[in-house]
Amino acid sequence: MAISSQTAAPRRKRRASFVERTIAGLAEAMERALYAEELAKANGLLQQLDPRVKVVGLLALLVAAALARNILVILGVFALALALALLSRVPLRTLATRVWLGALLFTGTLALPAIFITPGQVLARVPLLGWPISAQGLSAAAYLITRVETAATLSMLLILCTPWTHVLKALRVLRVPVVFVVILGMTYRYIFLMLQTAQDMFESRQSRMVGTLDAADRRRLAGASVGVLLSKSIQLSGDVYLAMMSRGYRGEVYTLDDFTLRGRDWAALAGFLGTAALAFWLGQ
Amino acid sequence: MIPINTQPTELVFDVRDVVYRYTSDVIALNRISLSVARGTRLAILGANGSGKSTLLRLLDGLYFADSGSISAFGQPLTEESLQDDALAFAFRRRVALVFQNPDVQLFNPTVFDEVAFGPLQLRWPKDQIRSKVKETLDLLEISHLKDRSPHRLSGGEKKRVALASVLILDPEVLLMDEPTAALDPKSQSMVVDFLIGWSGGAKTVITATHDLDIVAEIADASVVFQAGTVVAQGEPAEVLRDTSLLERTNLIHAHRHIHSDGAIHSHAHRHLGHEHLHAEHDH
Repeated sequence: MAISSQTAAPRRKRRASFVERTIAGLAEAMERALYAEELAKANGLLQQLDPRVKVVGLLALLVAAALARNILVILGVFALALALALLSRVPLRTLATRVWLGALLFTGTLALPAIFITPGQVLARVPLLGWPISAQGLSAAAYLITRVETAATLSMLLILCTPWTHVLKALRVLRVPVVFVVILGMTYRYIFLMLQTAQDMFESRQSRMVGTLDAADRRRLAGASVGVLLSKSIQLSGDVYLAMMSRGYRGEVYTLDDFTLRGRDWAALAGFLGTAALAFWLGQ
Repeated sequence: MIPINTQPTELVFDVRDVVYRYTSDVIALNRISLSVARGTRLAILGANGSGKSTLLRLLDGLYFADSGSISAFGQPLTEESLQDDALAFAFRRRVALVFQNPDVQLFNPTVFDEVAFGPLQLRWPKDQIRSKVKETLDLLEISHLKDRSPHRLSGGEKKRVALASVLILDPEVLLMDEPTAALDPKSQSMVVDFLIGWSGGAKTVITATHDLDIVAEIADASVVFQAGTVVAQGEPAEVLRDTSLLERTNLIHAHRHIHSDGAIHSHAHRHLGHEHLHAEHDH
């Protein structure tokens, strides 16, 4: 039966259901991880450095920015982070959407009251409400936001420019216990399996569903899915433990660290530490 | 006891009257007895839930019998004996298990780390581990995957990595749990070719499977399990000829179809090798 385009009511775009949104969220999580893995393989400045140099160097810059009492120094470290991002082929759009926006919203929410409640020279008042905006309050908020944005950008550069497995191994240089590193590695490995399982479960549900679920059903579905995933992960963890035992695991984990520092790594480390020391000195 | 080898050679495993229960009500293995001589290629056949995987885990010292005994290389294989580091390391070095689900076995962040895991736990020198990992990756033609995470591997690639992760130890006994399950035909063929050619057939391979296609190629002895008991044993060709046994143990199925004249009939149905065999028709 043909339906006339003149008589058919204009179709409204249907709002995505809970299940569809969950599937999209799971797929996005996997896409993001794949994107990060691809970026970590790019031929950029940070990608070519030893992971341990990146961990130590970027951490030193982060500490210098956190301790600086001069906003220009913090902005200088932020500018350096931007330069590193560009030289490492990290798109600024990625940083903007993944780091800056979220950090601004989160920190801005925390910093907002400080603008009004910090005593000091009143610069202006909020129309209608009459709340005072103090210079000291604005300064405190600006320091908080720039420090957080700088720290988050440096951290994200480490994550985006280094395969996650190398980041974990490099944590050993900070004396992180080997068992902790191994557990994080296994978590990273199995989170994808669980994501895939969750996606399969929701797609299976979606393929047999017509219409939308009401709030109570959505809660029931979410609860049941969490329960099934938990049960699967418990079963999986038992089997993985047996597989580890089968290959000689006796309660202590041994790992192979294969990093070698080359000339450019030492040079980069000196550059990072020198810049961090300078920022620390100028920032006091 | 069912002897699984015609050669009067050294026994790798000696299983006597083993009972294993999941719970007090559910028996997985019920008074199993069998012995496996060095160099035997044994296929354990059985439908899902017949106890094949449980037996492999018992032989690998991961589960322990509720009653009965298992000896490995002439030594009792018990929870107590594996408490001893030297004995446990020697046993893990000599016996390797490839799990049915490779995701269980690939728990490291990269393929390289995965293959290096076993030797690291056995405290091999690190230089030796590096060269042996490279050699093993080359052997299984997966060197190009060494930095890849397991979640970015295909099913066939995962199976190769799982094999590499145990072969690096150069075990004397390889236990394979459903090695061709959920693999595409090319990957199945890779696994079968490997099992045929591994160490020129000099090592012991025990394969649990319900894939009758591969049995004649990978085994020279077989036992058939049903509900936790051994119901038959013999040479693969002999066991595979026994249609009534295979049908009774759910290894082949009754196939019903309608002829062009409308008559319905059923017959035992199985796929073997490249031929599609029909046993006697039962109209």
